[in-house]
Amino acid sequence: MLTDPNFIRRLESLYLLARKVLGGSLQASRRTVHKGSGITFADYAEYSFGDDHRSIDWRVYARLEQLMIKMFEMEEDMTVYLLIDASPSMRSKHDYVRQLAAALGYIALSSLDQVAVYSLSNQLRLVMEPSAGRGRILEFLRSLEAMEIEGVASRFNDCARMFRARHRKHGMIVVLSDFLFPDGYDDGLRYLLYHKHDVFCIQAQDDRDQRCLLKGDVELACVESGQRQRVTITAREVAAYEHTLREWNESLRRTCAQRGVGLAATHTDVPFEQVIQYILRRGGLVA
Amino acid sequence: MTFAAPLFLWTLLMAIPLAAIYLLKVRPTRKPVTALFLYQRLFSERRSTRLFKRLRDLWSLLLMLLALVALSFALARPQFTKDDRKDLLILIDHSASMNARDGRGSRLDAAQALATDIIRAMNGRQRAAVAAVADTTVVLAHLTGNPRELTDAVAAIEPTHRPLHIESIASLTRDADATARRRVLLISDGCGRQFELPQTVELLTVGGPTENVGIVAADMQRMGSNEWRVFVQVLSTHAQPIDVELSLEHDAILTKLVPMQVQPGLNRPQIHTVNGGPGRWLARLRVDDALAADNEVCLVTHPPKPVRVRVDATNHTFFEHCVAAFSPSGLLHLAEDNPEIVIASGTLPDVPLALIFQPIRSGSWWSSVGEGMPVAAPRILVDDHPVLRFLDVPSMPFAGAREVTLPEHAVVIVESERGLPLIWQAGEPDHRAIVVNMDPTASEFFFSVRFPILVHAAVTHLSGRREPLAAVYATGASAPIPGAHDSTVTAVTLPATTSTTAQGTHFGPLPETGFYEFSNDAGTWLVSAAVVNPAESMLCHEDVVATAQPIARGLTPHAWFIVLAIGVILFECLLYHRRIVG
Repeated sequence: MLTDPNFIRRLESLYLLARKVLGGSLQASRRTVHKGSGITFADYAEYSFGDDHRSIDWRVYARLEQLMIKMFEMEEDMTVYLLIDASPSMRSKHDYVRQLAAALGYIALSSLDQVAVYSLSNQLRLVMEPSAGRGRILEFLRSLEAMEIEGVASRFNDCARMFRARHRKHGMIVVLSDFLFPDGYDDGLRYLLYHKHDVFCIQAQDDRDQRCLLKGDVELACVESGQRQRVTITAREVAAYEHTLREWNESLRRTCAQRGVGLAATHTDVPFEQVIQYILRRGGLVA
Repeated sequence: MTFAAPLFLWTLLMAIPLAAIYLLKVRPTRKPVTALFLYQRLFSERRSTRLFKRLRDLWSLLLMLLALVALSFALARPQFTKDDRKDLLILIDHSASMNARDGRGSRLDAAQALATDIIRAMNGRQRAAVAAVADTTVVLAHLTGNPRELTDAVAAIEPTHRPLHIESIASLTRDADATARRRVLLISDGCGRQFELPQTVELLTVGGPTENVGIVAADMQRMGSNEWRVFVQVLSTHAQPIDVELSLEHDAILTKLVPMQVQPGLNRPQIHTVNGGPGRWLARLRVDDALAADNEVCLVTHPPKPVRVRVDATNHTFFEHCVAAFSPSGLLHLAEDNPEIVIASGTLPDVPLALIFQPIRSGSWWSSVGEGMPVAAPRILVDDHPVLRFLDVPSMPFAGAREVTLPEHAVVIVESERGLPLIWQAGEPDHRAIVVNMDPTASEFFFSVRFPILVHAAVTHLSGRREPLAAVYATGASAPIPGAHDSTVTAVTLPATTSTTAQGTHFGPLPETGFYEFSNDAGTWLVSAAVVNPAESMLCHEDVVATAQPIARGLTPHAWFIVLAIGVILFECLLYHRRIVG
C-alpha cells in the first residue's frame, strides 16, 4: 500500500508543497550559518592544502592566477525520529498513522534529512535506522509497510525513557498515536524533551475512541490488556464517556502547550494529506 | 383449588428450557474497547448499584419463571373448591329512566358494565342467565357458564322508552326451588311504578341524584272550531326553581312558545290555548338535562265527529243547554233535521235511537206504565255499563219513577230495591233506547252535575261511538285501534318508519315515543306515544336502596393470572430493554 506508485505520487505532491511553503524542509528555521559543502553560494576563500580541489573556481584562477575556492552554506544534519504507536489499541488507526508517517518521512528524506522510525507499544522497537537521502525513500516506505501491530500494552512513558537513553543528539521527534495511554503521557513527553529535542505530537483518533457506540449490558474487553468488565451503558454513561474523553484530549492539549510541544489532533476520517497540509501551512513541525 | 383444564399444567415443564435459554441469553456480548481505563473511571463512581446489577439477571429469570407459572395456571383455569357460589340470574333494567346521562355514559351503560364485571368474576363453576327488564322481561341468555355468551347478551341490551314494571319479573322468582339454587340480581336505578321487589331479588343500584325536568302528563282537547287546549304537567328534580321554555309545534311549525318557571317536584298542571287543526303536535321542553326522552311529548288531535241530537221534550231548554255544552268539544251537536238520536222527556218519539226520560203510555221499549213508586236505594245490575260511567248511581234521585212492564229482551241496568226498573236498555241494535224512569223536574235532576254526564254517556253509547283516541299514550301501554274487531288485521307504521301488523282491537305495548299510524279497512288513524311517567322522570328515588349481598366483581382467577403474567412480562421487558438498549 505505502509503496504503491499512486501513493508515492501523492507523497511527491506533498513534498512539492513543502518546498514551496517551507523551502523544502519540514523544519523551516533550522538552516545554519555554517559554511561548507552545500548548493547555496556563500563566499570565496583562498585555497589551502587539503581543500577539495573540486571547489576551486577555475575562472577566477584564469583571471587572477590565484587559487580560490567557492564556499557554500552548509545545511545541518537533521534527524527526524518518527515514533509510531503500534500497540493493539491502534489497530483501527494503524494504516492512517503509517500514511501520516510516510508523508512526513518522504518530505524529510527528500530534504536530505535523516529519518529514523520506531514503533511504540510495551517496548520501543527500531523499525528503520537513521537514513538520509531520496534513495532511502523506498526502503523507508517498505519498512513502514512491514510494520505490524505488536505488544500487549501502550507504555509510552517507558518507551520515551528508553528513547531518551539512546538518542542524545538534537533532533526532531514526531509521535503518532491516539495518546490514550492508561499510564498517561506527561512523563513520556518530559523524557522526549530532555535532550532539547523538538517534539511534535500527532494525535489520531477514530469514532471508536471518541464516541461510545455501546448500549445496554456489555462486557468491555480491553484490546491491549484483555481486562474485562461487565457494565450497563445507558445514555448517561455515553454522555459521561464522551465528556471524559474530551477532558482527556483537552488535558493533552494543555500539557503540550505548556511544554512547547507541537500538537495536531486529527480524526481518521480526515485525509492524511489534509493533515500534512495543515502542518505545513502553520509553519511546519514547530510548537 | 382444582383446575378445569389440568393438562395445561404440563406447560410448566417449559421452565427447564426457558431457564437454559435465559441463562445463555443474558450473558452480555463482549465488546473490545481501546480505552477501558476511561470507562473504569465512570463506573468506579457508581458502585452503589453493583449489587442490584449482579442480581438483576437472576431476578429476570425468576420473573420469567413467574410469568410462565401464571400463564400455565391461567390456561388450566383454576377453580376454588370452597367457593360454592350460586348461579346468577342477572336482570338489567333498560326502561326509559336508564337512558339518563350519568357521568360519561348512560345508566344503562353503567348497568351493562356492572353486569359484565359480575360475569367476569364468575368462578368457572358458576352459571348465569341474563334478562332485560322493562314493562316486560326478555331472557337474552339462558343459564350458561360461558362468559362470552353472557357478555354478548349484556351488550345486546338496547335502551328503550318503556316504563319499568316490577311485576314483570315476578314469573322469574316464583319457583322456590330455583330461587334456592340461584341469586336473582336486578341492576336498576330504582325508577319504576310501585318499586317493591320480591324478597328473593337483590337490587344493585346504578345512578344517583341528577337534575332533570320532564313532562309527566299531557293531553289536548278541542275547544272550538280551530281552538285547542293543551294540558301539560311537568316534574323537576332540581332543588331550586328553574326557568324553561315550552314550545308547541303543529306539523313541525312552531305555534306557541311559553316561558315557564318549574318548581322542584311535581308541578301543578298548566293549560295553554293554541290555534290549529287536527294532526301532529309536539310539546317540547327546551332544556338540557339528564333525560332527553321526557322533554318531548308527541300529541295527536283528531277531527271532531259529533253526534247529531234532537231534543223532543216538554222542558226542552235544559236538554238543549246540556247538548250545547258538548258542542265546542265536538261531542254532541243539536240537529233538528236527520238526527241520529232523539232525547225525549214525557213524550214517545218514533225514531230508531232515543234517550227517554219519564216514560209515558206504552211503547216499543216498555209495554205498560203504572203508578208512581218511591225509590229509596237504587242498585246497579250491570257493572261497568257505559251509561253508568262516571255516575254515582246510589245518590241519584229517581223521583217520579213509575211501575213499568218491560219487553222480553230489555236489559235492566239499574233497579230499585223493590225491583222496579230505573234505567234499562231495550230494542234491537238498530232500534233501541235507553230509558230513565224518573221525572227530571221532580227530581231536580237538571241541576245535578250527573245530568250532563248521564246524557253524554247514554247518547255516546247509543250512537255506537267508541271512546275517542287519546292525544297521547304512555310508552308500554296499549292503544285502541278504531273500527277494529278481534279478527281485524291492522297495519302499523312505527315512529322509526318500520312497519308491522297487529291483530285485534288494540296495539301494544307501544315500544317507543313518537307517532304511529294505524291502517285497516275502517280507515287510517294517528296515535302517539311518550314517556309521560313521573316514576321514570324522577330519576332518583331515595327510598330505593341497594339490597344486594356482597358479590364478586372484576376478573376471574384465570384472568388475574393472565394479568399477572402480562405485568411480569412487561416488567421483564423493561429490564431487558435496559440490558440491551441501555
